[in-house]
Amino acid sequence: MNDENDTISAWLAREIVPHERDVRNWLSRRWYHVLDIEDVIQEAYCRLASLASVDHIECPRSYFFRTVHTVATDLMRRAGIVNFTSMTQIDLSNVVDSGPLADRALEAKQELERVNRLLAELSETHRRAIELRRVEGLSRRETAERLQVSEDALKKYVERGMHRILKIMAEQDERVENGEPDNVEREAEVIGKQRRH
Amino acid sequence: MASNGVTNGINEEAVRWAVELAYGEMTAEDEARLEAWLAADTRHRGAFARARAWMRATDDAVAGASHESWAEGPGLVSRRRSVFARNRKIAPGVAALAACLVAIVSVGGPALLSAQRSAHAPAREVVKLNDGSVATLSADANIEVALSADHRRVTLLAGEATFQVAKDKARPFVVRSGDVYAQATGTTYSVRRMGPTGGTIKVTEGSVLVWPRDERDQAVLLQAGGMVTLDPGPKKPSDVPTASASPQLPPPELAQISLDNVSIKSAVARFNRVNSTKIVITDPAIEDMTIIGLYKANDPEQFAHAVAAVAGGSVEHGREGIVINSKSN
Repeated sequence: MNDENDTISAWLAREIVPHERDVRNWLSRRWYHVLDIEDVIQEAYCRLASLASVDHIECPRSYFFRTVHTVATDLMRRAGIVNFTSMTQIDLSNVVDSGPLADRALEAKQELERVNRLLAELSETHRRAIELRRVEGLSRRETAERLQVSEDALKKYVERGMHRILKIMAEQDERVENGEPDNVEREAEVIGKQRRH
Repeated sequence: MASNGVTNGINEEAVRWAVELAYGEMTAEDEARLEAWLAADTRHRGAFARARAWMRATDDAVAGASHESWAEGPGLVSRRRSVFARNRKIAPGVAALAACLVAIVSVGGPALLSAQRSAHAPAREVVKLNDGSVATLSADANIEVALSADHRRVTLLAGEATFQVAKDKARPFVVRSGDVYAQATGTTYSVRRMGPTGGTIKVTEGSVLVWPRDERDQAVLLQAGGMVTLDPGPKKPSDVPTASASPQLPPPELAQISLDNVSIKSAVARFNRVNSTKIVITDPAIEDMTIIGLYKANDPEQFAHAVAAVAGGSVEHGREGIVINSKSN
């Protein structure tokens, strides 16, 4: 069970996480008046994490968008809101294109770069901790010793680092909500056009 | 009203648990509390999966970045399995994200990029195949093996596997990772799954032919010490009908013969085995020389000229076939 979990969790980290910001922007733009974005994101991750296998998923980005769309639809239905599906379907098809390889690859690259940029926000201690754990394979205690902090403090550093990274993403959301929809609109248009090639 | 994407409190809790799991010491009591918390709400489970995924992505990115500076170091990576192995396996290959970054850039076709050799993943399971080959699987690896009279096919479903291939020229040994294929006849190499369609191939010994999908004629020859990450990406719409009609491996016949510093004698033997036009070498001194390259299996002429060029000989067409003489003859 853990083996499978591990494959899925590696897949989430590699294929899903880089698209979360786009998914959030899209969600915010469409649904932030009626839905709690966090609820949708969490529910979507729950569904993705409980997949038995991801081998059949050719384009994780579209899969992520579709999952989120389904979750949002379900939540709306539960809330008794109807007559929204046709609009969102059209909208979705603009976002989750599976268009030309080169464009998509470039997109994916930009998303990875975005994740990498978030790394700049890591504290030196957090970064060193990851290096010691992952690259040198030290235990938690050895890592804490090398960094000359207590094990509890190490935990706090990492916790704070993760909060910070996740918060920066949420802030990117807010920027969209607070009036930069043009940018997103244009992005969606561009993607929509590329699809027709 | 919406949360403005900031928080609904669940994320904080999820991060706390994810960090606790990775960096803390979970007592049985803690585990029970985590289980209860996860069971309470699907959003808890989702937030927890998300927190772990983000931690992992962060780890991968940091490890990938620091891998650059480690790559040439002598002591490379000593990866001891920590006490947390149960919950949080060390992902195989520190270069995963870094490799992803380079492999994904592709304009108008699959990207082919070779990179430096990288650390070996912790070996977990050794599987002996019926043909005598040995597969060493990483902790998260999953393979399917199909051996028949004329081919040996291994499909890597996930993770990373290293193969010590038993020599059997009649049955090409092909490993498939997503839409990437790697073939060897007698060698040691490893294949790691990269996303849904890609793979990373590292060669330890001998040489390996690597190609995406049905582009076997465009295969690259990877020599010992080489590494390549190939990700053809999602299939183009125009490819889909044919691809779904024949999702299996390309035909097993040897379209090309790859030679990695083998003696001309054995190389000639390989060509003669598959072609009716035979190559004859008159000078044993030439037979002892070695040759490198990738040749069309059905074109002994081309190969003969390469041999003549390497050995400084000449090509003649006699009754026995293509005759290669040394200049002094």
